[in-house]
Amino acid sequence: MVLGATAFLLLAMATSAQAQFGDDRARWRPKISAGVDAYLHNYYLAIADTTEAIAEFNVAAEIDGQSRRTTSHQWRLRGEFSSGTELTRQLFDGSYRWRPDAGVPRIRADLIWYGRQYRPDSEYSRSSDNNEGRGEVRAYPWYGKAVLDLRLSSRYLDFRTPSTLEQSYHEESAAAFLRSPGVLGSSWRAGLRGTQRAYPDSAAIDRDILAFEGDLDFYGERRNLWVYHRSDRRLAADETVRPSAWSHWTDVRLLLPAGAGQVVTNLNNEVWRYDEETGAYFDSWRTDVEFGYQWGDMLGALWRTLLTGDHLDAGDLPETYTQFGLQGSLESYAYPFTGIIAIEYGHRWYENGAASDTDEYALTYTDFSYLEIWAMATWSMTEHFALDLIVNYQPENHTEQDDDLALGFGTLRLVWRP
Amino acid sequence: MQPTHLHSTLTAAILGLVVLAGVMLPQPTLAQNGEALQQYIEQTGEIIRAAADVVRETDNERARRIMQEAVQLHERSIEIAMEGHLNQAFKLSQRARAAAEHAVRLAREGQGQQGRASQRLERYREFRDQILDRAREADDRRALRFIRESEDQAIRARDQYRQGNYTMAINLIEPAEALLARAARLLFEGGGAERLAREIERTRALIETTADRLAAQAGGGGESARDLLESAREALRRGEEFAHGGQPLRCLHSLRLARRLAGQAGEAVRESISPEAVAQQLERWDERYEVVAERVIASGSAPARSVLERSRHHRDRAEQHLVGNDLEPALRQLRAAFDLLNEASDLAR
Repeated sequence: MVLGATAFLLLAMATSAQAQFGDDRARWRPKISAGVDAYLHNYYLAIADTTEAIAEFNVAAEIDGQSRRTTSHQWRLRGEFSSGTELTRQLFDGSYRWRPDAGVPRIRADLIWYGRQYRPDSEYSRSSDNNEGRGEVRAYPWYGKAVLDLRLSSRYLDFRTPSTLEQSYHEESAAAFLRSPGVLGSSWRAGLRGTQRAYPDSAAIDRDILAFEGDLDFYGERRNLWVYHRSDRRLAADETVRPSAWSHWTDVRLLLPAGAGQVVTNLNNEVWRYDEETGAYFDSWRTDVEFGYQWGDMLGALWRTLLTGDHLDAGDLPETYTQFGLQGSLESYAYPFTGIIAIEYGHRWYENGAASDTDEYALTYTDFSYLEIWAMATWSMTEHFALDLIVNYQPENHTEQDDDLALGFGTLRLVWRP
Repeated sequence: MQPTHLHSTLTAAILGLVVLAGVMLPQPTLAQNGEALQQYIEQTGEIIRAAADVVRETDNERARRIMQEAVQLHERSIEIAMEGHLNQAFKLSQRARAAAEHAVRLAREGQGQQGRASQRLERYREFRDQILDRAREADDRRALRFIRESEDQAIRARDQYRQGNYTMAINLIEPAEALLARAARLLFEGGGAERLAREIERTRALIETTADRLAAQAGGGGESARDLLESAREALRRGEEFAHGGQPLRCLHSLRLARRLAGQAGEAVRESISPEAVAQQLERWDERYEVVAERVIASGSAPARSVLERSRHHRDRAEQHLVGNDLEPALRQLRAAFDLLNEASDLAR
């Protein structure tokens, strides 16, 4: 398999042509990278503090190819093979579009497949080898002021050694959308999707999902409005195991010009309503808001400062909380450095969670202060070599020290694009 | 819409039991009184059974692991109590309850995180498709690179989701979405390679038209106008370099400056456009038409053919205006004819 992937990559490198500006021909872009991904989770585990840390070194070879743009039969292929100290991964991602006379697409087919094989001494807690795939066919039978977008898709997840926590499933879905005709500039889309998911080893958790989904992306001079909404009706096969539920998810992002910069407003709203609440599944309404100002030049430095708020309303359950924070970030699209660094500091208050002397064993959550650090950077050292860095660290400092936890992720990769 | 607060019997049982246990039995008594301690340990057993039911409902691995610890602590407390170490047994039973509570908390929190992570991953795929379509249509190399980086990040998020680390999966999918948003912004601001090529061509045509008009003037239109035009050419050159270097925004800024400078140079001669200069532009269009028409026929592209015909139409209108000595409208028609000719050329590629 390694030899095959290497041969494929070498062939692609040999046939790849450096795309010229304004060129339109089939092209392949190979990429080889090596680096370390590290995950850290520090939390209290009944007896003592526990630190789960997994550091994985891996080498990945990737090839990405696409057809000419001005052809009736367009395709895109992406293949990736990576081998690391924890597992081996494969990815195949292919897409085909039929565009008669290089005009609007009439049919589209997508196929994506992931393979994961864990090493026997892997540190990952779930280490059953698995395959995951999805195939989808879309047809666009009608073009007018809007486009009718019909979809059929199938998906599966297959574990070599299934267990309670690693359950194989297959899923089929059908969807119909209306969307805006152009792909460049502002766009919108709305439609319905029906999905059936079956777990061969545990039919009790089979489910059907009916969903309405829509989004709008409007661009103007220095302004942008993006709205996404999805409402799901989830019907469980066995209500005693997992209750049926409604869920509603809305995202709004708005950028408006103000002075030399822009006012930023982000809103996320998430509602879960179960037909019957259980110990694990309870009704909730979560609202997450960011409001602030950004200024600067994307070519140089784009500064942003935001007030953040997060409220989870779970009624009189102990999960109800309110959180406020302050976030500052700096983003740059400049060459050779591209990146973003964001820091947020805030506090969360649980409204029903304070323990008293008499009910010290009650289900309680403790207030905490948090810090969130995000850094993502690419240094293009030469035309072909780049260094990618991603760092995320989120410690929580609780009023009850035993509840303190920290979550972190870091990756450092050297990338070669021949 | 407010969530309803219908507690299940199970949740009520856990909360009721643990609260009751704390209220009814003062701690010092428990550690000293064997009968009271036995009662306390039995209640711990009930709490653990109820908590285990909640944890089993979810696939939160960490909660399950802590639950196992709670069970072990409880079993150990029973053994220690039987050996007569009442104080130690009481402390172990207390820790078993704390662990059970911790497990339930993680399980309940985890359910929300799992739903959120699953939605985000699904939504990500849809947006990636949308932005990828745009990037491919615009053939924007930089945007495509952001999308590929975003895909790498999404794969990490998917791996963490499969591991049951839902918070981590959300933390990883967020930057993947940020990279997609960055690509979308670039595509809108930069408009892709195709738009850049069109903008460069448009700017070059404007500079050449202005140069022709200056040349048709006595004395070449004056030193100041020639200076402005030279600066416009310099800005165009910079724009082309930025485009080749994959910096669409800087390219567009330079092109905008070039057109402004060419416009200022043109102002100097606007009042005295000569029929010869317009006729010269018509000749230039005819020469370029020959080349583009050949390319369009070879490509067999119907949209390119249609745009080419529209360009021809504007060229003929310009000629009619020239015959009527209507020079300004003639130039406007010619500009449209050149723009459409460039578009036809692009479509034929």
